[in-house]
Amino acid sequence: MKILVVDDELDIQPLFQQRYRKEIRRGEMDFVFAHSGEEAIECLEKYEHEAVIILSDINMPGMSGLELLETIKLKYHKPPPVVMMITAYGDADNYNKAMELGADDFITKPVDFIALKEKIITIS
Amino acid sequence: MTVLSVVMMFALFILFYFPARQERLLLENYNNEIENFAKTVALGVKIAITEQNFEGVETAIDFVREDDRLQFVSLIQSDTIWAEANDIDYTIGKTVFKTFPDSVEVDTEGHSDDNHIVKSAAFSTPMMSGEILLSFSTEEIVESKRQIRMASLSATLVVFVIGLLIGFWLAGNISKPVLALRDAAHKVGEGDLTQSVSSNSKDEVGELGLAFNKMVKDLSVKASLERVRSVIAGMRGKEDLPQITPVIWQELISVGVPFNRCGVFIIDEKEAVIESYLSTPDGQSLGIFNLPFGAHEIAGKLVDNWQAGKIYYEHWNKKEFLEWMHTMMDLGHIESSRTYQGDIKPPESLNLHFVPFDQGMLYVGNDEQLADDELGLVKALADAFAIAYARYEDFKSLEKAKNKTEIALEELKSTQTQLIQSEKMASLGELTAGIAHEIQNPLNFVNNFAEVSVDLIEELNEEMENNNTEDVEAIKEDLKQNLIKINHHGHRASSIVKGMLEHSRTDAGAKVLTDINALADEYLRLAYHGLRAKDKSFNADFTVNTDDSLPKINVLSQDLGRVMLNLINNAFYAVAKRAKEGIEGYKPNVVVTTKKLDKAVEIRLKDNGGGIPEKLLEKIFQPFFTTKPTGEGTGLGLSLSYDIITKGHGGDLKVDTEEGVGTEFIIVLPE
Repeated sequence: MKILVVDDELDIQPLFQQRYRKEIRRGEMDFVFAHSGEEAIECLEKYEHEAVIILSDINMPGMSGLELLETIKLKYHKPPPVVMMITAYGDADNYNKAMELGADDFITKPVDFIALKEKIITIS
Repeated sequence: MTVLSVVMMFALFILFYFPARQERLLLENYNNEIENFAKTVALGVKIAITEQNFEGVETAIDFVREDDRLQFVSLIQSDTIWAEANDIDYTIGKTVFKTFPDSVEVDTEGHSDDNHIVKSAAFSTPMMSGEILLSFSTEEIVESKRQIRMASLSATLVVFVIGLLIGFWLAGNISKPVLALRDAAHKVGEGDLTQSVSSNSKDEVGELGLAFNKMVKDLSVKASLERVRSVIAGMRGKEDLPQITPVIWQELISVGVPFNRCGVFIIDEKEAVIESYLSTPDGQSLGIFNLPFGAHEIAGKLVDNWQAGKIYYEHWNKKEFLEWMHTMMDLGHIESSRTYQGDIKPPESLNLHFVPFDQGMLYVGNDEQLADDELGLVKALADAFAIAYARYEDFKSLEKAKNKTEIALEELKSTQTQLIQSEKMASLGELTAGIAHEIQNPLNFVNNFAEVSVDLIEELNEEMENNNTEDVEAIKEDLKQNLIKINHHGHRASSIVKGMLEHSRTDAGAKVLTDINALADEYLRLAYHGLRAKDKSFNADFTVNTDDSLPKINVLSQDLGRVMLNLINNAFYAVAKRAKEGIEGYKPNVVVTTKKLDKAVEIRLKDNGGGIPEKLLEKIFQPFFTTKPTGEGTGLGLSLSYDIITKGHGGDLKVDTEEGVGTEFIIVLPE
């Protein structure tokens, strides 16, 4: 199962790769990285027929995480991708909006990678 | 000169006109007389001849014979001599019939000349016709003429002399005063108002002199009043008040009012005091003091009369004078009796005159009571004083108002400073939200990389035990990268904190070499995240196009940062607003571009918002101008930005906008 991480912070990539080094090596987790909402859409098109878990930041220039979420939920019905929002702003507004748009989870930064791993394993 | 010519003309008239006229009359009379003689003689002769009484002829001639003026008397016979040719033409032949005296040759056609007058009278009788020719000497006439001339000459001389005398007398009575008047008028014209002309005569010249004196006096009074006005109205503060008494003193002298004491009392009904300005008898100011209404009997009377608008007159004897003086000394307004009395002894009698004006009473003290016209002058002085004093009071209240305005202005300035500070704080507030995000991210990375590195160390140990060299190397490389990243994100966080501190600083700071590209990038992010933090629905695309050849330039980086933050915030605000209009396909976009110019750096901040309407364009740099809803904008952002760029950096801040297309702010900073 592909896990698409969307964040405008480039260092997210080495962080995830190191954090889940063993999982990646064992083939338990397969990460793909996108640095903007637009890039994420392109990736989704590329992996259209694969089950994908999307971990998206909310606050990004251009297409925001919430817009991305909305687009995905409207456009991709089968299989419905799991979208988890990860944001520094753990406020009610963002949370409600995300839930309204059909987010599957809402995680606030700093990310608890162990808990995240469990969530991902549960889903997959 | 005029006098002389008038007299000359009159004399010449007497000299020539009268004798000529007299002589003509005399001659006419003489002619008539002789003609009458001739007629009488002719009548006598006619009667005698008609009666054939030849003695009668003699008698007739005797009528003139005895007259000693007679030169001759002649009886001339006229005969008609008919022409031989016909009976029509004839001549008259004249023959001397008889002459007395016989010796005289008589010309029958004799005419008058200068020496004698010849007159003829015709007679006609049946016996003979003829005429009496009478010649009289003009000697007597000539003599008479001479006498007339002599008489007229002497008359002329008399007239001339009398004329001259009258002339000089007149000159003495008219010219002299008129000339004196002229000289006096000249001096008055030069500003000497002490001039007067003596005029004791009761004639027109005397009246003219009196009128002139009155005019000069009036002028002098007016000048005095004018001086009072200018001095009093020129007063600017309390320190000028002691000028009042000397001025009144001086001008009372100028207008010629007799006095030996004077003063001014300004009545303040609200405070129930009389502000008193008194003089000593030598014109010195006694100083200024406040006399309560009840301090002395005279104070009450003064106020009563002033309220009634009446001149108040009072007479003091020595005792009353001393009583007043001691009251004043008890109140501490007079230091020594000697000064106030102006002498060792107090005056035996003092006449006090108080003349009312708008704000109080003008006091004139004198040995004698003042006459009505003198009081009139004092009144005029008092009125002039009143007008000027009112002006002084106006000035004082104006001054007060001015001071108030200045205080208000000061307050306004400090309020403005506070507002500028609060505008800084407001933008700091906008920043904080952005900062929270911006700072949270690097800190997360620091934490995350630190944690993951701890894990990596464990892994490294495992791999080393397994002798998995390749993995050991990879992990070592990762660890190194992680440490670099931790360092990088730590710096990132600290630079944000530093920026925040700089931003909140109130002092001007110093210019430092700054990387404008980095600054632009940093503030664009800060602004963006700040807005995002405030408004969750907000989103916009933003790009930074940096010119890598851009040199570092000396700027007040925190100030310039605030400018960028302001402009970028405005840009995001504009695109967000436009996005809410729900235009199909609209993508909010903010682009920051830097560019190296010739000896300058250009920063362009472009948005695709709604643009600025033309009518607002000229106002956008004005302080406190804002289009944002109340409470959202201070209206100082652009005005401060403008000041920072132009005054702070000698640069230029321009705006290029089109409604419905967008706005671009262009900052040009000299290198």
